[in-house]
Formats: sequence, structure tokens, C-alpha cells
Amino acid sequence: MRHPRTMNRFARVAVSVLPAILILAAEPVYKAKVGYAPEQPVPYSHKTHLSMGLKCSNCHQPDAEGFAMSFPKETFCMGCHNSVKKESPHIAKVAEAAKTGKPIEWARVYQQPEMVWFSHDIHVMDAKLGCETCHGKLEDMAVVAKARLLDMKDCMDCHAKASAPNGCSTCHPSQ
Amino acid sequence: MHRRSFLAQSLAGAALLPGPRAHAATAREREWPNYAGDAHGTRHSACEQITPANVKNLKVAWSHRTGDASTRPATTIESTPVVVDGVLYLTTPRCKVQALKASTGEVLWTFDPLQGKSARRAPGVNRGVAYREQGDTKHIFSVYQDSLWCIDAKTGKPVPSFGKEGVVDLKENFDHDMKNLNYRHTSPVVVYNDTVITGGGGGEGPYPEAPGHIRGFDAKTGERKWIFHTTPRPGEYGNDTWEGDSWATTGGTNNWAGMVLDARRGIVYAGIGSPAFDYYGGNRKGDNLFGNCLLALDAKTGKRKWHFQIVHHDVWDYDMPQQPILITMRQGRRAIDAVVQCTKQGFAFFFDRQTGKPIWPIEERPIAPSTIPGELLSKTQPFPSKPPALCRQGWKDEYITDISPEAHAHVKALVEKVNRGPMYTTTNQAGAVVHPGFRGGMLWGGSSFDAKRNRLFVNSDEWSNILAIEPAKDGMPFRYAVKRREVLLDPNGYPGIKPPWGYLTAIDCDKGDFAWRIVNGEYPELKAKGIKKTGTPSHGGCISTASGLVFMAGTFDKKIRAYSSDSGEVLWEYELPAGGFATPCTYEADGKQFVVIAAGGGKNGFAARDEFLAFSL
Repeated sequence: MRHPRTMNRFARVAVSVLPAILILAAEPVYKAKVGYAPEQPVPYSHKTHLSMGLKCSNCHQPDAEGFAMSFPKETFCMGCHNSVKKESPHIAKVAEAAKTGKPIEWARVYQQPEMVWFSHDIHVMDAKLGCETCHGKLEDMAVVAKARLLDMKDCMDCHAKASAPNGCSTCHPSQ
Repeated sequence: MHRRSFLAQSLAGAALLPGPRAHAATAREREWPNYAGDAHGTRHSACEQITPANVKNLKVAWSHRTGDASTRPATTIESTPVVVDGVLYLTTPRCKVQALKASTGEVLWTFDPLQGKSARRAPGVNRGVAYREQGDTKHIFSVYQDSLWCIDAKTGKPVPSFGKEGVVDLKENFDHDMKNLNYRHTSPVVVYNDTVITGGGGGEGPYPEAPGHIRGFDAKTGERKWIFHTTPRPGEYGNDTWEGDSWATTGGTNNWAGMVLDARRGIVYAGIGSPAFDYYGGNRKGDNLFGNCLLALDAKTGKRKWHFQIVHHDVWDYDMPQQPILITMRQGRRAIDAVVQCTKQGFAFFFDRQTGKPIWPIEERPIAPSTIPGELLSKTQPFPSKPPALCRQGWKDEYITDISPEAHAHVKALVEKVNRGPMYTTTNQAGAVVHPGFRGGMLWGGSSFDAKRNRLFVNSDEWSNILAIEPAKDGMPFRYAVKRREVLLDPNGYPGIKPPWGYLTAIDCDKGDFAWRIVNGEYPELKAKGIKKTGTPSHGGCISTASGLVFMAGTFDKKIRAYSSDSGEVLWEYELPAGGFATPCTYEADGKQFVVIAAGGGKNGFAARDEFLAFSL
């Protein structure tokens, strides 16, 4: 017979992990509600870094087609963290990633479904929207949390207010 | 016998002769010079090298990866290549045009309509190009979203004398204020001598949309020659079928599935889509010509020859989803030049292509009125007497899936909460089952006609939708909005209707009945459980050959198949690396016959891919 405390510990772990597994298995990221703030592999704080004068564009660049914004390369992070907080075990993870070239696997907070075509280029360069329009006040976030639903209705409401096209073919690639 | 009488009788006799071609097929006839095989849209090839006896030996001859598929967003390929003079012209997942050596797949050139810039909206699909030849001039016409490009077929470079350095902006010269409106053209244009004829236009709402006027452009200069208003203006025929000024503000009513041309008669035939908003028409009372019509226009002037409206005042999104097809069918000893329009409802309407007279009687039958405030439906809708419908129409609870108790219970719980009834039952805030749904019935893939066998080959699906609409919020530029719009599926993603879910049918054009009908496609995982012959839905159409074969991919088992034209028996099949969601083509190059299919996936949860495969013996 197992020790009751061991059983309770197994049960506690199962109870705490199972819902997360079920949630992750059941719900794609794009269906997450406002406030969704998954745990990250490294506890990066936008609040801390932006308060030091960093801008969004220092770390996030559009891809060649202007669709997605990139995450910064870990070598960029180590530019400061070679000396700043280098003793931290979290920075050690970043240093390892910079050394091996294997990027940190950040947990996505925002992701559009496969049937949606979205271009950051158009929204930032053409429509002149600030990052906070969709992503909220990152300067207040120690942990990134979903600031807006960014579901179809949210996008179309914003397009309607801005007199931007709202036909299906604006955002959906195929017939 | 009087000489004139003798001549008249001889000509009349000639009309009774069977068979489409009194000569051996030329090299051009054994290619695929048009998106749908020929300008008539028959998707029938004169090739005879691959036969029912040897088709089982088909193998991959070459394959080509275009390099521009993506998973997010998911691209797909709906393109059927055009093959002329040994060169194959295709369009890629990102709507580039490529020329390949048809016998080897070697890339000759690539044309990027974005010209190095990044896209400003979703790329959409491009089902193929149009080829024009006059003397030494050989051009390719391709449309990317709202840009009509004229490309040198030899070099892949834009032809500078056409439009502005090779391109015409289709949002201009459209007789409509296009500010903040999208324009989209997804099927190839039609070329008639020196005229390029375009369809396309806006979507189907509920937000404001562009209309779908049809235009003819000068093939050399890109100058607009004529325009036909699919939402007619005051003084134009059909304007009185629109309440007040609703003709001016209603979008949609576009041709998106492609047009066909009778060059001898100079008539272009176009199936027209739904007026916007395609689920509510309370602000556009009336029959709404020329929405949901088969339209015959003078290809030189754009003047209307005749039309037939297949859905009056559409609120079911039953737009004309398929290119019409021009056939010379035989009834007894009589040859009839006809045009066929297949529909989402599962109907195939046959008309005399000169006069528009139905080949078989069409009956206007009463339908139930709408319960939505402000809506006014047509009291009747047309029902052809022949051939039989190619799918179930309307919803009965006996249609609920029976592939498992779990599936049955799930779908039963969904449909019990909403309205069900015959086809053309309207929805309301509570919702209704729409069957066939918004993907049919039949869709854009296209049908095929074998004149020798006098048979029309048609693939059809059994999609169902649940639709509910509700009053729009204050301030919205429309009265009603979608509350709920989903495909009716079981918990595992299979159609919620009882199988079969997909068919391939041969229509006997003499009798107007089915010559044969097979359940098309299968789900291996269901077959393994003993649930056989379900068929699957499909994206893409079929082609046929003079040797007696039908080829089709498009099913959800990712297979391309060859069927006997005489019986429907499957004679060969091959599993593609991705869903083959396009219509194949076949041609002869360097003495060999090839069958080419795009394996682009990217729909219904299938992984996207960028591959074209060519099969030969």
C-alpha cells in the first residue's frame, strides 16, 4: 500500500496539471480570452525593459513579407546581459540559446487562425497604428497578457470604425 | 428535287449526324489550351494514349514544387494549368504565373504579379490563366486580385503596351465608386478575338461591397470596350426588379467561377453570384436581376442576348458556383447546341444556347415566405424537371448521420434547436439547417462533357450548414448580420448528414437521367471500422478523355482517380502528397500523354503544399 502522502502528492500534481493539459489540447491560442497570460520559459518583463528606454522596434521586426513580427535573437539579448544580471539562471538559459542557436520557445499569447491573412506591415506602416492598439500597454506588463480578443468581430469592428475594407477577401486567402 | 430544297435537306441531315469531330485530333486539340480544356468549358480531351486498359500503369513522370505555399495563413491551389505548344502555364499558391516545359516540368520563367512588393491584402486564389495567340503574338492573361496582367508567353515579362506597363487596374472604369471596397477576380478571363472579358467584383456582404459588372477590354491596349451592369441602372432592362435605389448600393452579383465562349456565335455565357447581403434581402426587395442568373452576352458589345434567373431574390448564398459548359448533346437523332449551368442546389439546368429555351421543362414551384421582419421572398423558385437533382435537397431528420450513436446524438442535438424544412426554407434568429449548404451540391471545380458518349460528368457533395441571422447593432451599415454560420459536422469533423457525402455522376443527355452514379472517395479510418462507401466531399472537378476515361482528384482521401466513362468503375488511383483540391488537365507533349494535378491541400484542415504532379505511362 502506498504512503497516503505520496498518493496525495500524485493526486495534487495530476489535479494541477490536468486542466492545463486539457485546456492546451482543447483550445487553440486564438480562442484565448482577454487576460490570457501563459507562463513563459524565461520570465521576461516588458515593464522592466521598456522602463529602461527600449522600444518595441528594438526587438520586434517584421518578416520579409511584413506578416509576422519576430522575436529578438538571443544574441541580441546577450548584448546587454553579458554583463547585466549574468548570474541569473534565467539569463543562463538565454545565454545557452545564444550559444547553441536554438531559439527559446516562447509561449504564444497572440496567434491568428490558419485561415486568416494578417499583415503587421499594413497595420503599422499604412494605418499607422501603434503596437498598443492591439497588444495593450506593454509598459505596464511584467508578464505579457492578451489585451484584446482580436477575433473576427473585434477586427471587423475596428475596420468599420476606421473605414477600412471589411470584405471577406481582405483577410481570407481562399474562396 | 429543287436545288434549294436539296441543300436545305442536306444541311438538316448534317445536324442529325452523331459525334463531335469529323477529323483526327490535331496537335493543339491534344493539348489543353484553355483553363477548362477548350473555350466551351467541356474539360474533354482528344487524347487517347492513356486508355481504360493501360491506365493502371500510370506513374509520376515529374513533379514541380513552386516554393510559395504557407501554413499560416494556409494557402491552397485551385489552379488548372493551360498547355500550348509544349509549354504548361500554371498559377502558384501565391498567384504567381509559371511556365514549365510540359514534358519535363522544367521551369522556363516565373512572373510575380506583386513585382517584389508585399501584398496589401489576402492573396486569394487564382484558378488559372488565359492564352491568346494572334500571328506571332502569344500572350498570357492572368488576374491577381484586382490587377489584369498581360504577359509575354515566351519571356514571362509584362507586355508594356497593355494598360500601364502590362497591367490594368480592374477597380478603375468600373462605373462604381470603389473607395474602401475590394475587388477580386479568381477565375481566368475569356479571350474573344481582340477582346478580353472579365468577371469578378465584390463579395456578398453584409458590409458594403462592390458589384460584379462584366467588362470587355481591348486585348492589345487594355482600354475598356464595353461594360454590362449586373445590377442594372435606371433605363436598363431589369432595373425594375430592385426596390428603390437598392441596385446602386447592392454589391455581389458577380461572376466568380468563370465564363465560357461560343466563338462562332460570338456569345459569352456567365453564371452570376448572389446579391449582397446573401442571407438577407429586406433592403433589396424584388427578384434582383441579374443576381443568380445564367447570362448570355454578345461578346463583342456586351449586350444581353438572354438570361435565366435560377434563384429569385437569393438569401441562401446559392450563387452560380460553376463555369457554365457548352455542349452539343443529342436527343434521338437531333443535335442541340446547349449550355448547362450546374448549381449549389444540386441542379443542372440545360438550355438551348442560342435562344435560352430550356431543354427540359422548368417549373416555378411555391416556397414558404420568410418570417424575418422586412424580408420579402419570391413566391416561387425554378425547379428543372430533368435531370434529377444531384444531391438531397432540404432537411429531414431522417438525414441525421448514422455512422455512430455518438455522431447521431450530437447532430440531433444541433438540428433540433433550429428550423428544418424543404430547400429554400429561410433562416431567422433561431437558425435553420440549409441543405445543400454553401458549398453545395456542386461547386467551382467544373463538369466535363463527352460528346461521343453524350454524357455530362458531374461531381457533387452533401454539405449542410446551420445559419442564423440577427438584427445588426446600431450604427452598422446593414440591417441584419450573421449570428451563426457553421458547417453541420459531427464531433469528429465528418458531415452531419447521413452518408454518402460525395458522388460522381454521368448524366445521359438524351434521356436526362443518370447513366451511372458512384459514391466517390472514402475515409480510410471509417472504412477500417467497417463504415464503408461514405464518399467524401470534394474540392475540384473532373475531366474526360476520348479514350473513355474520367479523371478527378479533390476528394478528402487525397487521391486522384481514373474512372471508366462507360461505367464509373475506378480503374486507377494514386494518393497525392496533399489534398488535390483542383481540377486536373491532360495533354500530349513530345509524343506522351500526361495528366497533371495540383496537390495544394490547405483546406478543411489539410496541410498546405505547393506541388504539381504529372502522370504518364
